[in-house]
Amino acid sequence: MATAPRPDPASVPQPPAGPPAARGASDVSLPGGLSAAVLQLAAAPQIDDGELVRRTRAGQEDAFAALVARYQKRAFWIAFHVVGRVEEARDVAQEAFVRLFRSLDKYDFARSFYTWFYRIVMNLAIDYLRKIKSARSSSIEDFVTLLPDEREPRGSQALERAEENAQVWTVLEKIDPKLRAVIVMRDIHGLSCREIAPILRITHATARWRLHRGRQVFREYWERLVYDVDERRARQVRAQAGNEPGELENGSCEQ
Amino acid sequence: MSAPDPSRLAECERLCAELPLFVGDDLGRDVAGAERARWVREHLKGCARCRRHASALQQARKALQQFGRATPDGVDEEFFTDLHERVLSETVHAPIGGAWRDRVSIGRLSGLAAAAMLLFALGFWLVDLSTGDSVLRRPPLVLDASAPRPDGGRDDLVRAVPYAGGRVELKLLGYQDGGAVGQGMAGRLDLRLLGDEARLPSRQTGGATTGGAAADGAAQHR
Repeated sequence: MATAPRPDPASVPQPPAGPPAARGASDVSLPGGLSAAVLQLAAAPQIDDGELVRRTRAGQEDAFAALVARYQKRAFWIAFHVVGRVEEARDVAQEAFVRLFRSLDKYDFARSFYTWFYRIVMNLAIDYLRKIKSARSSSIEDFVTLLPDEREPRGSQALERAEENAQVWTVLEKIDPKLRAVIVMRDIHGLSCREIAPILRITHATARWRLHRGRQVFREYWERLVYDVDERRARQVRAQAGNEPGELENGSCEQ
Repeated sequence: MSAPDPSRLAECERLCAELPLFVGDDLGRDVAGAERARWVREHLKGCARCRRHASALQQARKALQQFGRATPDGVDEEFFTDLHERVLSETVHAPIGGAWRDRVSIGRLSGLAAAAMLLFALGFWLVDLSTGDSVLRRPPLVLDASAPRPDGGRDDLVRAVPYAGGRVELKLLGYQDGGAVGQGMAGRLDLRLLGDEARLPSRQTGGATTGGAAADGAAQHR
């Protein structure tokens, strides 16, 4: 394979830290079971992504294994926050790496690796959403697993938080995938609009507009949902106290 | 209760447009962005309605960020080790030809086969072999074979290998108007097997494209 000129490491943009769950993918929490050589390559700060691509193209398997180790958590979490299901997010991440491997020859060393790779992940995730759009109306299966078992002695705060996470997913699912992709990348993964724009192949102004619109829409749905939940809880409390009719009776009255 | 100030309301509306970006510190890091952020902060100090609006946006964003920190069941180090192995088994550890097999799936092969059959059927339907202008069907030119070529040379006999059959000797029957006859290589030299000449009808008629004098010349030559 042809060798490409090495860019100045200082000029190559570094990947964003991402959410706490994805953070540390390149340092402390590399997956277990990897060989020492792969771990060393993945954790070496002086070996940038471009160098790993170069070595992979030269036939070094460990270099690609290190690249996967560096980015698999970011790939999985970003896919998970867009598609909302563990199995599908894992498939998206896996497919993204397969496509990356097959197209390493096309990698432009002048551009940042993570922008290129995130684009592959986001495209696959959005394609997945389009495919299932008509197939599923509403699913919070994986987020329901975030809810702790009520039989376990856990604090009410944890229960509330888990419930809130499930509600966030309910809201996210209602938002257009294009807007969802931007607010997930900005508000969860911490990418700036300047970083998001090339990933989604849109202009910086479009990224900002989608972020603006996405936050507005999210807030509207969120307020409505929280209001509905609070209202339902209040009715339940009143029904249990015997002061007012219960939820069912109240609900039927509204109609 | 006094009516709200119209200019104040217009300012609130303008602020509402800025708030979604303001809450995430996304108004811009340049001078203009910093100035807009300063203006929003000043407005919020004196407007309870807009503060509520900003608070609602911040609450929603906080919930989103909280959601980003949650980990679903089953996603642990073992999960990522498994993912790593899956990726490598599909890429660098894949058997030779595995990737190629993935690309050329049964579906793609079926599609290619169907397209090839369609093209073949279309071509078969379009090409009418019975009316084709075959070299062997075309009436031969019968000219004076001993006449000099335009370049002054002579070539009564041409050795050639026909498209079917063994090596034979072919005879140049002549040129038309001192130049090439027909189109392409097949038309430049009108060749016939020597043994076939007796059976060709144009031999007697003098050819479709040339005159009788030329036919006579050819007969004399033989």
